Amino acid sequence: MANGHAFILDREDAAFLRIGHLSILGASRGPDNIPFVARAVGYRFSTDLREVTLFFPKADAREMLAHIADNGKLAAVFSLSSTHQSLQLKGSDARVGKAVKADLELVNSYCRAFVDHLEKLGFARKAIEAMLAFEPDDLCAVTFTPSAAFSQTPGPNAGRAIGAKR
Amino acid sequence: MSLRLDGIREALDGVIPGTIATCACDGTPNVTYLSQVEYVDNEHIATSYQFFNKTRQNILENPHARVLVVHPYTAARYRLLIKYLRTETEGALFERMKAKLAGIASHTGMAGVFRLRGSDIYRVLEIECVPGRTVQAPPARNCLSALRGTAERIRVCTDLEGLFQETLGSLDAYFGIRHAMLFMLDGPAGRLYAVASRGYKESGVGSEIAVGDGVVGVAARERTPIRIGHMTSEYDYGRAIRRHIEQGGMGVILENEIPLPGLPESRSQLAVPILAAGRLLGVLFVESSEELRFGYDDEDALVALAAQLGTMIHAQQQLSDAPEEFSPSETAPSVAAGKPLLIRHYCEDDTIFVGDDYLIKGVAGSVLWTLLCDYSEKKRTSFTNKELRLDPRIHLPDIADNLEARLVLLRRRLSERESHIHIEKTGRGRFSLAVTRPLELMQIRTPLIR
Repeated sequence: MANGHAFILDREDAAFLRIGHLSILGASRGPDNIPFVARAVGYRFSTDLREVTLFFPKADAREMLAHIADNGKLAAVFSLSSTHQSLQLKGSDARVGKAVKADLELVNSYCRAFVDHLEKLGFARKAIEAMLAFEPDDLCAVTFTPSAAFSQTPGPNAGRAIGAKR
Repeated sequence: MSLRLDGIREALDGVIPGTIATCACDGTPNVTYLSQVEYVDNEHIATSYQFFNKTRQNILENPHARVLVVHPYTAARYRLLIKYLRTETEGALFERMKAKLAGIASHTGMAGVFRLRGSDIYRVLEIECVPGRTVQAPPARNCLSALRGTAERIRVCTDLEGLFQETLGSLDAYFGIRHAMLFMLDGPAGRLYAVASRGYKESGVGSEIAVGDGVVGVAARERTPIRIGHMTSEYDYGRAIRRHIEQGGMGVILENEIPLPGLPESRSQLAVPILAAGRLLGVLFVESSEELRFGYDDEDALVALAAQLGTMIHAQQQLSDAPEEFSPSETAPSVAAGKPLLIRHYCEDDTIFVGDDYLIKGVAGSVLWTLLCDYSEKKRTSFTNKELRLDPRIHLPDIADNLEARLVLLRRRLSERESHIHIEKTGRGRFSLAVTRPLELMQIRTPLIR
């Protein structure tokens, strides 16, 4: 494993990340340390939560993919829109891969769940659908091993490191 | 840049929250949600600084950041490359963001969590339209056309009262704004008094709000528009008034307070200061029970309208102080019949009661008392603004005080209270008094017992 250690989240944070309709945004940075941000349209965790895969439309995330190829650094914030509970994962071994057919089904299922969740909160369904729209053959997968996690829920504790290293 | 910041302002309003990516000196990126992005001008935005978090730490080390915002109706996404410049902790921008943040906090269940410590100002270096699908936005009201309609309608007004009524009427007719109030400033008292309103059960004309209290008071103090899409109790003027009253003492009932009108379920509010010749004249206030009813375009239109209104109010005041060069013959007092009407005048603050009913206080009270004394003692019915301004019995707080606006207020109160006393304009800077009941005037030097 590129980071040399695995990252352990407690049961509550692990359960949070397994919610199927979190809002996800990824950030990378270029050689000049200028950051980039893009919205992910789906995500997948390995069973033990040690590996995360985020899906991005390449047309949107092109600069991020170049950054990742260059330095592997990635930060991703996962947020539940109804409560604003948020968690940020960071890693430095990100790599870009292809999205396979099973991924596409996963992403479609995520998009439906996310749109449903936001519609219940009063957002216009069509606008959220458009926000997540992508061309299937434009989808790519970014996989990384989180090496740090931070609570990002708004408030004075936002940014607090969580989880334990083993 | 091909995209202009003022062309994407709606996306900054945070209906769908924006996100900011920053980078630490060691090259670790960070990404977090933004509670607020404020349009400052075509080259600058501001974000709220609430806690010393990683984002803050990063921008102090490495000022470049990227922000992703989403248009709430079209879902168009814009990615902004920005550079941190400075943090403001007071002033118009800070107060505008503070008021808005309080609304956002209340709307998102974060009241007590969100507190603005500063406005972080960034220069916008690039705007990228993120490729992807969008939806067509619902047809929007054309604020420029509404502003033109309003401007054309009010420019023919020849007196203040007409100007106030036509302004509020135009807001309804052209902007679809059904609930609005106009406040004028009493500078030395640090208060604003309502001179006109539209869309409320009670007009509330004569009600007051302290400069600095609520949306209206903050707009006046900071001389900046305050626009809130998710109304919060913190800036609710009704609550501000209640707090003011409560500070006066427990269980005190103010007999000489006129309640402020207001929507019980107000969700969106916009208060725009009215300025002319570098002075604050008053505040134009609008509200709606719809969330996010007023956008940047409404704010722009009302600021432009307030500029015209300010110039016209200023001009009307000067014209009224120079009465037309004719001297109407003193009309005989109208026939006053029936039981005498007791008029009590409390010298302490010029509070006037007609019978048992509170009518008015302050400068307008002092004006009315002077008129009624002259009417009773000298049978006078014709008056000019100019002589009132010079009359030592009337304590105008300020040489530039808008006497004409005080008279508008007085006329409205007399008419609404069916007080048997009427004031009618007879020409520019001239008016007459008509009384339909015999009067018994009582001057009271002891303070009003509350």
